[in-house]
Amino acid sequence: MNAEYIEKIDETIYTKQLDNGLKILFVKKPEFNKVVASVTTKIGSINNAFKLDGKEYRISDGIAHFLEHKMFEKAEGDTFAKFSMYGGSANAYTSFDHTSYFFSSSAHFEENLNVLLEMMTTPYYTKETVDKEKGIIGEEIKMYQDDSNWILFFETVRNLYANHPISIDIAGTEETIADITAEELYLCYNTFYHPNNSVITIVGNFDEEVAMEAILKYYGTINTKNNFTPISISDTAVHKSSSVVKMDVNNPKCCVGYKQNKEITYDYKRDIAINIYLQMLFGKTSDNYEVLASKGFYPSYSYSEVGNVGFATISSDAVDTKLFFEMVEDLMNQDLNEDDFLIFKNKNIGEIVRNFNTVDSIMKMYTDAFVNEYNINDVLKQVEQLTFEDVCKYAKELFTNGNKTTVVIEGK
Amino acid sequence: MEFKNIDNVKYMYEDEHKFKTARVSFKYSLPIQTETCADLIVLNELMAMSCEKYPTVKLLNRKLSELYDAKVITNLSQKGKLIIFEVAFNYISNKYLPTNLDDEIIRLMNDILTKPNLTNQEYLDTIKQKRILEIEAIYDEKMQYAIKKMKETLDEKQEVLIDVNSTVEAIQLVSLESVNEIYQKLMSEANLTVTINSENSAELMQQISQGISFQVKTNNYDYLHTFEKRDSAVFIEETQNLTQSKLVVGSQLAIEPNDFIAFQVFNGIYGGFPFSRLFSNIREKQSLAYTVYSAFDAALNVMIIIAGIDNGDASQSGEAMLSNIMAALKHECDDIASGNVLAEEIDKSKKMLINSVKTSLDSQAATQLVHYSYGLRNETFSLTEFEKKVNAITIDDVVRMAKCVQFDVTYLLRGDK
Repeated sequence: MNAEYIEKIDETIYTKQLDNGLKILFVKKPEFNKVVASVTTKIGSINNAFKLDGKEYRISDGIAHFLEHKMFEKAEGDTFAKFSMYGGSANAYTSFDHTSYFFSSSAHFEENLNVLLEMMTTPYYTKETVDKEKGIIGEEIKMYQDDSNWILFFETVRNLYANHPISIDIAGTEETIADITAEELYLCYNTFYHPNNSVITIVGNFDEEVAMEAILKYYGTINTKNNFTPISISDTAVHKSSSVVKMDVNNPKCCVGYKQNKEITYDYKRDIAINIYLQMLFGKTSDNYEVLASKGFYPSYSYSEVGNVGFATISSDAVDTKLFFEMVEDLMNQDLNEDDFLIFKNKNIGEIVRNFNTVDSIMKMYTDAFVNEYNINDVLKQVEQLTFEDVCKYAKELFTNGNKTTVVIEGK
Repeated sequence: MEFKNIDNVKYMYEDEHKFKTARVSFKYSLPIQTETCADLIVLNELMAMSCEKYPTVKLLNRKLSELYDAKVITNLSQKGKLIIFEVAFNYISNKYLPTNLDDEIIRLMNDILTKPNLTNQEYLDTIKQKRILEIEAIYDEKMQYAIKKMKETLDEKQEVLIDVNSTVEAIQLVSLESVNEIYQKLMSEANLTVTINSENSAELMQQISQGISFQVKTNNYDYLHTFEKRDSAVFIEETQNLTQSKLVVGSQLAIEPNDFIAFQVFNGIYGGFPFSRLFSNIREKQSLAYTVYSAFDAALNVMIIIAGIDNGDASQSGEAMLSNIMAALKHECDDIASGNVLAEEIDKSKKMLINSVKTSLDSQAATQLVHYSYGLRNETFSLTEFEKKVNAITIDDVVRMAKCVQFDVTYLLRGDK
C-alpha cells in the first residue's frame, strides 16, 4: 500500500487501488477500541439517469435508497443479525450523491468485515422481498412528511431546481417506488456498485493484513467491465422565487436559498471559502449574531456542492418571517472585516485537526473526499493559503438576488 | 483514571494520547427540583455567551476562534435525582499547534466559571426568548412531544421525571436577580467534579487547582431513584393532524444497582438493538411499526418503549393497528419472561452491550461521563470488570428482569391524516 504521512496531524494514511478500480483506504488507530469499516458507492438520489453500452436509462426516483434497504436482506435472513452475532453495529445511509454501508465494532473485526463484504457482493432481490420493502419505505417517506425542518429544506431546494434531480426526495415518493422491480435493482447494482465506482475505508484498531485478505477475497476476483456514463442535467436558473407551505407547526420557520447560476465541479477551496463567508456573517463571532438573536432569529446556515450544483441555505424559526428575510438581505450586502478573516482561518484549522479526533469523523472526511474527488491530505494547506479576496470573490458569485428563493412554513 | 480531592473538589484525571484535543469538564451537581430548572438552564447558556472579561458573544467567540477553535460546551442534564450543570472546555492539544494554549485556557476557565457576566438584561431576554421557542418547538418534534407527555403522566407529581428544559411559564419568570441567586447556590451548595483528559493531565490538574479558586462544599446527595409499584395502568390519547401515529409506553421499575447490567442485557434482547425482538419481529416480520425500540434509564429506573405506527387505511382501521401493536409489544416481553429465550439472543445482547460501552470510550466526552456516572454511586469504572459482569448474566437473570416490566403508562399521539 502507499503510505502518506501528514506531519501536522501526525497521521499516516494508507491507500491502494485494485486493477478493477476499487479504492482502498486505511487509517490505523491502534489506541482506539473501535474500528469502523465502510463501503461507499457513488450512487445517490441525483444519479437517476445514465448511459450503458450505448443505451440510455432513466431509473426510478428513490432507487438508490431502496437499494440501500435491500442490501441487508439475503435469502438466509437479515444481515443485521449476523453483525449482532459478532457484536458489530451496522448501518447505512443514502445521500444526494452516494450510499455508504458501514459497521463499527470493538471485537471480531475479521468476522464483521467478512459479513460487510459478503453483503456488498451478493445482491439478493426477489419480487416478494421487493414488494414487502415498499411498505416499509413508504412509512419512512411518510415520517419525513411530518418533519417541518425536512420539508423546509426540500421546499427550498425545489424552488431552486425544477429540472435537476437534486429536487427529488432522497427516498423518492410512494408513487415512484411503486414501480421498482427486482430487475431494476439488479441493473442499478451492477452499474453503480462496481468496484471502480466504490471505496472501502477502514479506520481504527485493526490488522491491515486481515483486512486486505478479506477485501481481495470478495473484490479481487471481480473483473467485469463497467463503462457507464452518468447523464447530468444543467439547471442554472431559479425555478420559483418564493413559496409558503402550511403545516401543523407551532412557530413559523423560514429559509433563504441561493444557488450557483452555472454548472460546477466540486472545488474544496470554493466550498470552504463560502462556508467561512457564512460563518463571518452569521456565526457567533460576528456582530450580526447578537442583532439577529435580539429579534429571536438563530440562523442555521450551510453551503453544499453536490454533483454539478451548489447551493446555500440560511434558515431559522421566526415569528416575523418578513423581518428575517429583510435582515438576511441587508447582511448579504455588508462589507466584511478583513481582520476577522484571520481569526476564522485559525478556527477552521482547529476544526480540521479536531475532525481527526474520532474514527467516525475520519471516515466521514475520507468518504466525502472520495465522492468529491479531492485530496483530504491537502486541506490544511488549502485553508492556510486561502485569502480574503478568495472568500469575497466566491461569495459575490453566489449571493446575488437573481439566484435566490425564500420559503415560509406557517401553521394551518 | 486517577482521583484526588483538593479543597472539596473531586478531580478525576487521566493522560490521554489518542485524541487531538484536551478536554476539561466541570460538573456541578444538585438535587433536581422543578423550581430551579428554569434559572439553571438560563444560567447555563449565559455562561457560554460571555463573562466579565469578554462581555459580548462576539468577544468571547473571537477569543475561542483565536485559540484554534477552542470550545466552551455548557450542558444541563439529569442523572437520577440529580441535576448536572456542566461547563466543559475542549481545545486542540499543544503538539498540533505552534503555541502552548494551557495557560490561556486556564485563565479563560477562571474567567468563565468565577467571573460570569450576569448583568446583561438583553442577553437574558434573548436566552429566555430562545428557550421559549425551543420548548414550543417540542410540539413540532412529535416523537419527543409524545415522550414528554408520557413522562408527565408516569411521574404525575413531577418529582424525578422532570424536563430540565423547564416550562414556558417558569422561563418567563427568570430574572437577573434569580440567575445571580442560582449561580451563588450552585457555587456554594453543589458538588463539583473536574474531569481532565489531556496529554499531561496531572500537571494540568495542579495548574487548574492553583489557578481557579472554588468555594464548594462536599454534600451527600441521593442519586438513584426507585419507583413504587403502580396499582393500575393508564392510557392517554391525543389526536393531531399527522400522517403517522406515535406510541410511547412507560414502565416504572425498582431495579437495584446490582441488577442494572442484567436489565440492560434483557433490554438488548427485547428492544435496545437492531437485532432485538421489537425490531426484527414487530417491524421487519409483522410490519406493525416503521420504527420501534426500547430504552432503559438505570438512574431513573424507567424503561420506555417507542413506536411509530401507521394511522391505518382502508384495509385496517387505526384501532386494529393499535391493538395489534400493543399485543405484540406485550407478547415479546411475556415471551422472554416465560423463559423462551435463546442462548444466542443472550450472547448477542451481551456482545452488543460490551461493544457499545467500548466504542463510547473512543469519545472524550463519553469517557468522562462513564467515569463520572460510576463516581456518583461511589464506584470505579473498569472495562475489564464491566465485561466480567456482563458475561456472568444468565438466562435466569434475564427472565427475572423481564418479569419486572409492566406497561404502566401508554400515551398515543394519534394522527388523523
